[in-house]
Amino acid sequence: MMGRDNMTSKGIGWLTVGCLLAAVGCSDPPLSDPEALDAPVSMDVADGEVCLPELLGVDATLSSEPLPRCGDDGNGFALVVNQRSSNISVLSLGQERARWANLDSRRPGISRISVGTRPIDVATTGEGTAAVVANESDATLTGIDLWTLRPLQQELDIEGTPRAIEAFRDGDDNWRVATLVAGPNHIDLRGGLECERPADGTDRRDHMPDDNCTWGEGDPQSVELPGRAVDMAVDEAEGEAWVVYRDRNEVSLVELDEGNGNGDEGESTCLDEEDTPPCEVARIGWDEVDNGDDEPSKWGATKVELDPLGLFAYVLDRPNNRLLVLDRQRRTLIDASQSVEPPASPFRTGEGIPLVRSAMAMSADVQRDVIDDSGTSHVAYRLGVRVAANNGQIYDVGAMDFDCVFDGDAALSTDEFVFDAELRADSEESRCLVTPEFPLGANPDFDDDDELGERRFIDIDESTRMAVTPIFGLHDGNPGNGQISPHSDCELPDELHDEGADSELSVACDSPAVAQPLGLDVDDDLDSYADETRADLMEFAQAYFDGGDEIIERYPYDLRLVNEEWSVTYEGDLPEPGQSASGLVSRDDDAIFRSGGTDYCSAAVEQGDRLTIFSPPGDASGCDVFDDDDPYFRSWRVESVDPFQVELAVIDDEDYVQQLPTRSCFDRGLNYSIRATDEWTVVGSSTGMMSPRERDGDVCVMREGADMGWFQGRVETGEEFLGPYLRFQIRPGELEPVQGLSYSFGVERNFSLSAVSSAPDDNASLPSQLLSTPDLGNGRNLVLVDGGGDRLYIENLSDPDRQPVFLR
Amino acid sequence: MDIITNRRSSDPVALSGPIFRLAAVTAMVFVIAMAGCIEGHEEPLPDREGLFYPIGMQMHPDGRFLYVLNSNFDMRYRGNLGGTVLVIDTDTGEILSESSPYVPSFGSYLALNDDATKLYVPTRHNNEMTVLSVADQGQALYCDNDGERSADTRPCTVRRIPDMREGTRISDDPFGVAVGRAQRTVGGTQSDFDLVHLSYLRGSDVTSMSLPDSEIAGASMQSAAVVGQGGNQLQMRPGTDEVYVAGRGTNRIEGFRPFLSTTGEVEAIVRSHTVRITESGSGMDARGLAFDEAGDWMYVATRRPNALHMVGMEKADGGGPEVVASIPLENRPSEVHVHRGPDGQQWLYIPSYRYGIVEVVDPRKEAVVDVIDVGRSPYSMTSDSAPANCREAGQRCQGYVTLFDAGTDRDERCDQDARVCGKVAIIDLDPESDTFHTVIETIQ
Repeated sequence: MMGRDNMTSKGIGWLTVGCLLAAVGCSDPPLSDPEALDAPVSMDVADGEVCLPELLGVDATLSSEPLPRCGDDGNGFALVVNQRSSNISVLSLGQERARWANLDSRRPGISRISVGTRPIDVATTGEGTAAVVANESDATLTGIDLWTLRPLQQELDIEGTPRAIEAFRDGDDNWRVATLVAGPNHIDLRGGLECERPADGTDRRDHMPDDNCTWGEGDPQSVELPGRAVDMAVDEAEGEAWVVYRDRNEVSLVELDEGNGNGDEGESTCLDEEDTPPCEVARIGWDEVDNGDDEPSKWGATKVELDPLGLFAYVLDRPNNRLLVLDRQRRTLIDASQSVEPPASPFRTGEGIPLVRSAMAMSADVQRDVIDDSGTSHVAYRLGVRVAANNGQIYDVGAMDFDCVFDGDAALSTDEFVFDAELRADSEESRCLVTPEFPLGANPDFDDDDELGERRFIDIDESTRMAVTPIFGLHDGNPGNGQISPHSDCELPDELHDEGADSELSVACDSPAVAQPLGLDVDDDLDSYADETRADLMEFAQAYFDGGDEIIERYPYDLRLVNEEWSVTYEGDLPEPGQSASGLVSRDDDAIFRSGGTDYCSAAVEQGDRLTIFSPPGDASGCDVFDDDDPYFRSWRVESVDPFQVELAVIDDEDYVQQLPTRSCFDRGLNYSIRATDEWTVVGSSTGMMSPRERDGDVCVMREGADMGWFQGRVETGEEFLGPYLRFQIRPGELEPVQGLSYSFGVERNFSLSAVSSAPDDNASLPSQLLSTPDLGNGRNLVLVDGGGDRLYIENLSDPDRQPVFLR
Repeated sequence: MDIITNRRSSDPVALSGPIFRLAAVTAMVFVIAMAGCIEGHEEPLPDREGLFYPIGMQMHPDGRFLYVLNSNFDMRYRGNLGGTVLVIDTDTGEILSESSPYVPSFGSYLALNDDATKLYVPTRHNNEMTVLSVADQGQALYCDNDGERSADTRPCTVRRIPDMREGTRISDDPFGVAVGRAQRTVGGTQSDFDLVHLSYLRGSDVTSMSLPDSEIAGASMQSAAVVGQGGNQLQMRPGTDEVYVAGRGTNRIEGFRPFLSTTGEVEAIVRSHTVRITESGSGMDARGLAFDEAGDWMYVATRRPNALHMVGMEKADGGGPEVVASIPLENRPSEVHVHRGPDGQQWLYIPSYRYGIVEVVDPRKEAVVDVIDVGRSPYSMTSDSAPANCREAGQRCQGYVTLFDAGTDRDERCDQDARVCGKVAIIDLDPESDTFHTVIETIQ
């Protein structure tokens, strides 16, 4: 509160300007759509019997007649929940331009549908003739007649605080609503709402719809939940709800249909064997965090979404910035880090896909491309998720790409195949919808095409075959490929030049006479390596069908690369030790050298390395034995390594001092280095030098996976180096390498996130829901509901050339 | 962990030339003036019987006396004594004017120390801090000037530490304040140190002071750039010596702690965690922050977006704080207050300055569960707390909200000529009461 600022003079100035403009007759400002949002938090589409007529005129007012039936005239629409003002806005999405529908021109502004206090979610029901709104503050459900866009007077009470609501048809084809409730934690199940169209001539603006709308029969039922539920998704085909929690690292599967859930011999499939459906039938957990009563996890999950094709479930874990993927058919968690190829790290903990920070909403995404649609059909699919973060971006995350060839017709449109479960289930193409069991176990860096193909091309049945590409990561929006920079550099010590001169061999960066790092496939019989690559980058392999052929296409795995410089140095200095004058000779034992804080385990120090003290000795008696012009004279061999000290030994060579360092001669923080012996060090400018060891208390221990060759920081001449995303071999030369021989080369990542900007310049964004709609008359849409920015972002997925729209 | 060492050394005043002469004359005038001013104050002084632009509040831990800071926001009264800290007896609703001292103008927040013997009030009149003494039962506040109690707090107001003349200055526009405590054994004797932390509306600094035995004499101070573009509230995380500061134009909450020597002096400010509330580049204004009792959750009320963010302070794998949930709020939230009800449940109260309401959030449900209409311009809130009150249903359990510029008529701004402006609204917080979550009384 900066009360001391005086705005009076500024205010007078603006007033003057305004008056002048008015006096000269400024032109009318361009018309803009009126605003209709007030902390929007969710949305649902009405894509059934009721349609909006064409909205005409500046104010887009609907006529006073009940809405028409679809097919007579009109288009589908959406209902947007405004939490702050406790009402519902009606959005036309099926016409040329997305617009708010003004429900009643007798009132100023955009009229909306009043509901209970602080609504949180809405679900359309009854073949799109009705909607039910869950109200958080007053714990009620409000029914809405969509023929008249009027709320029912009678609201239904809910025990607890509603968090989400979904509508679905049960096994008997009756509409029902499931409300996710907190405190007490449960799912409230009751009949859905259906409405009949009032007669023509009814003024819908004043209509009381309680008589033409009917709630489904039966008393409400309650399914108890084990934690604080935050989100729910309903699989109508299976009659199941997937529920995620704030305080549990688990997802629950809840059988919603009384008729389902009986196993063999009539036994209940409920987790509580004494229970009967509706009930919880399964739980799938992650992170192995103890979820017992004493210590519930604080983090849980944020959102849950179901892939419309029935293959995956997605769980968004905002605090941990990751997306978890579940196999719906097997009801298991897919370890995405191991299912991506090559695996992210064989021993990495955490099973999800790393995301950009603060992901808040998501929408399952299915892309389908019919390549050949009759006889032997060929269809390509891309499954994944679009994620909205509060940095104003919506970006793409992939789960799996797959091609399917099958005997039969791919007769359905994409809309029909994706959004109509019944049509899809009856189609021949539905045979393609099988989830392979992940991980497949392939590794493009080590498998040839035949080996890869054995794992990626899968027979589903006699007449159906699929080509699978696990993605489990962010999609790349950059069309370029990552690469090793064409230009590399080297340092050739004088000693090497002298050797070359003696041997009459060419000493140059690309000379085969000199040992150097090169890609694994570089030909041995070359006169020069000038045109050869220094290393091979990690590969990504795409599997697909082309005509009758099975194709494996490889390219650099850009997502896994890092923009950095790599240095490969023979007997190079380790990058971390000795960075500051902090080394100390022990007072008590001349053989012990202390690090002054550097963790030697993670700094990749090893037995056999050489430690050199560069600081000159003191003037005390007997210290002249350490004095020499050769800067490497004061070097010792590392006999053993502990986290913060090494044990030294004298090197049996008269070029080095033949006495251990003493505290009396080196009585202060010392400049020193530790370097490798008879090996090359490999250091990335961002990655650093990988160490196979880590600290465990007072000792250095091998990291998990180190024995399999991961975490290499060194390589010998003639051997292969395996880095985090690159490989090379030190090709020997005719000349022996000498200390200081060094090569450097760059890696260009060429990765950029496949994303769109979903927030304009003011940037206040709090995404609450991301929704992919079916074609409501003007193509499919992607809609982001942003409560922090009080806006909708609308992108037409069927017409990529159309500019996205922001509505307020 | 970043250690930010002392940036500012003492900047002694030059002991020569015209500046020295002016300073000397000023000092003489000051001494002469002080000699005659302890008993009689110059006019215009504010009325100690009413509110005028109240902002921050503190409840004495015994639960009876409420301290309300009047800011003199319209500069009606003299700058150096234009504010007051009113002592209000919450049993009777009476303002104890004789027990309410004058302080400099433009104060916002105030904080009691651990044993409620001192009340620290930073003010922006001349960038100073006043150290008030608290009577043993909280019934009065005063400046202790060599044993003499006075409502004139000038002898208890400091701008430089440790030396009033040559010490390091308090930075411009001190705003938020939080107080902790440390112990050190010095010369075989255990001593307590009040650790006073300040944030500033302008600049990037935070300040930590160490006051031995809660006294200004012997205090030490360090400042460092921690927050991006001006700070709002400060809060200490319970159970730790960490302090978190909300920023005015940054998307982050910054954590830090003071580094104390073995003799209790502040030697450096050490960064701890940075909590990124949003990923948007700029523009977020974090207005208030508060912790639950255990320090496991931090709640941050922001503008742009208008939202409450729930931050988990520790991950199961030992990672740092992360935002777990964000709840949309009404426009312009000004603060967040955590209250523990008689049933043991914690509630979050967020005043909306723009709409004259207090939104009530149940953190277990991550939902706004109630909205309390309190009247115009609510800014800061405090409440009764156990063990004094709110121990069980039916016992007095009240919340107090400052209404910054409320007039006599509800929802109307105070008249510009009025000698009083603003109110404190009292809200019933007893869940068993028929008037639960309604305003039952106002104090003006």
